Formats: sequence, C-alpha cells, structure tokens
Amino acid sequence: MTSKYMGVQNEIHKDLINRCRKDDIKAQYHIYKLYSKGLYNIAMRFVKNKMDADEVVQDTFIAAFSKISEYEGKGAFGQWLKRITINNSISVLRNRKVIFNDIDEINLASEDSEEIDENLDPEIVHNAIKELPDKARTILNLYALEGYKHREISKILGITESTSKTQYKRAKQILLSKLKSLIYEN
Amino acid sequence: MKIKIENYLRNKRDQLDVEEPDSAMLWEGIRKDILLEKKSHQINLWKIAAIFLVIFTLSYIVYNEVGKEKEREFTLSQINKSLGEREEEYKKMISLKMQDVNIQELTTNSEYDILPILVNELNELDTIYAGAISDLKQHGYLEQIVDIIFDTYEKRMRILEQIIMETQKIEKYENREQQISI
Repeated sequence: MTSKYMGVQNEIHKDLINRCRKDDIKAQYHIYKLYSKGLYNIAMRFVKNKMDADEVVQDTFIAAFSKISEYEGKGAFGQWLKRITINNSISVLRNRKVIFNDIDEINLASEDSEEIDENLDPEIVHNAIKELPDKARTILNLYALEGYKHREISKILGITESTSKTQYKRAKQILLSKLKSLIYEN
Repeated sequence: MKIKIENYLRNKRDQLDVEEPDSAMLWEGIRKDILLEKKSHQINLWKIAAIFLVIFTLSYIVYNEVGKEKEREFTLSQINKSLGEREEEYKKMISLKMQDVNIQELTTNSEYDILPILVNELNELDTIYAGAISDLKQHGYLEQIVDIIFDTYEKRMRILEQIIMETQKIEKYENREQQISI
C-alpha cells in the first residue's frame, strides 16, 4: 500500500468521523461496516456467546456515536472503539458474577514447549480461546491479543499484577493443552 | 515451523477474527436506538424551552407585581408632610366607607343596575390615580398632578357614599316587600 493511498484513506476516515459528529447516519453506517466484524470477534472471545456479543457490539456503537464528542482524535478511532467493546464485555462478565481476583484451582502440568505450528488454522485457535475459563480467557485476550500490559490489566480487573501474570501463564497452559488435543483429534 | 504461542497470536491477530456477525440485524438495533436518542434529545430541548418559558413568565409577573406594589407604596408624604397628612386622612375615611360596601356583590347582583356603573367609575378612578402617581415619580412634584390625586380621593368618597345610599335604599325596599308578603 502506498503512502499516498494511506493518506487518502486517512482523509476519508477523518471525514467519516467528522460527519458522525454531526449525526450523519450514512457516515455512522460506514463506520459500523468498517469496524463491526473486528469488534464482534473481540466480544465473542470475551463473552463466548452470540447473544451477549451482539449486545456488546450494539452498545459499543450506540455509546460511541452518542459520545463521539469525547473522542479527541488523538489516538486511533479503532482503538477507542476497541476499548469501549472491551469495557462492555468485561461488564457482561461481571454481571455473570465472574470474580477476577481469586486464582483458579486448576492444576496443570507445565507444558514443556510453549510453541505451536505457525500454519495452525486461526479458526481452531479462536475456538480454543473461547473454551478457556472466564478469568484466564479475559486475561489472555487483554494481554496477548489486545496488547494491554499486566499493570493496566490489574487496574481494569481490580487484581494485582502478579495475579494477572499467574492467570496469564495458566491461560497459556490451558490453551496449549487444548490446541494439542484438538490437533491430536484431527 | 513451530513458533511461540505469543508470536503466533501477534502475527495472526487479524486472521483470528473468523466469525461473521449478523450485520443487518445489529445495525437495525443500533439505528433504532440512535433515532430514539435523537427523539428524546429533541423532547429534552422542548422541555428546557418550556421550563425557560415558565421561568420567564413567572419572573415577568413577579417583576410587574413588585413594580405595582412599589407604585402602591408611594405616598404623598414623600413630597411633603402636610400633603401626606391630608392623604392619610382621605385613606382612613375611604377605608371606613369601604367596610360598608361589598363590591363583588354589587357587580354580580343584577338588582343593583345603577351600582355597577358606579363601581366601574371607581375602577376608572384607580387608573387615573395610578397614572398620576406614575407621573409624579417621573417628573417630580407638580401641583396639578397632586390636585388630580386629591380629586380622585374626593370622587371616590362621593361614589362610595352614593353606593352606600343606593344599597340602603334597596335593602329598605326589600324589607318592605318582605313585610307585605308576610
């Protein structure tokens, strides 16, 4: 992609956001089309079921369009939407009474290798992530997929940094174990 | 080739988005909510406008009433003592006479066909009086205006006396009628 093309793309994007600020429904629809799939998949990996993911995505766009004045244009708009989606997803988990500050009592033998085949089908990995326990899944999503630091995760979930690290390690072990058994089954 | 799971997740981050949302259904829900919010926003604007109007109207009424009250509070003693005493004397006499008259009864009872005219004259005197007071405030002391004010007091006295006379006459007539019928 040339830088000239990227420049045009950025301009179109800026224009869409400015039109969204003026409640232009067509621009809102374009923004929705641009981001809905990505946000839906994030929500699915957090909340696991379609109904809750649908609600998270709808609430995200409704909140974004009604509070678009709060978006100052400093960071990427997609990141701003992503943050709203993640917050909404965590709220859904909290409503399900998921408590983040205790440690899972799952004892797993430490995996010898933390490596997987780089050609592994992403769909298998996506589904394996969805099967992780709530706490482990949330922390793996935040750290490995959405790029949050353990310090940030501890603030978001109200846990200590070390709990976040322990839960992440555990999540990785469960995921590796699940992937190995899935590959073995196939 | 084998790679660390963290690297796999980082490299294939976008490819992990494998699920397709029911795009049309989701958008319909969002669109409906946006429209609803717009409507409630418009309703809120109307509410604010209505509240503003009520406050404005009330303020106007209060302001006007205070103004009238101040007008009523104005007395001729503010110009000089003797004028004030004279005015006080009139006010006392009028107040005594007013005790004998029920103006509401007079204006609604059709028996007293002359009396409503007299009551209307009293109202006109009120208007003249208010105008004179306002002129005094605006231009300061003027003998002609003070004369008009005393003239309204005089006329008010005469009208009240007339009203009392008329009502007494009617009462006497009604009593006589009653005695005859008994």
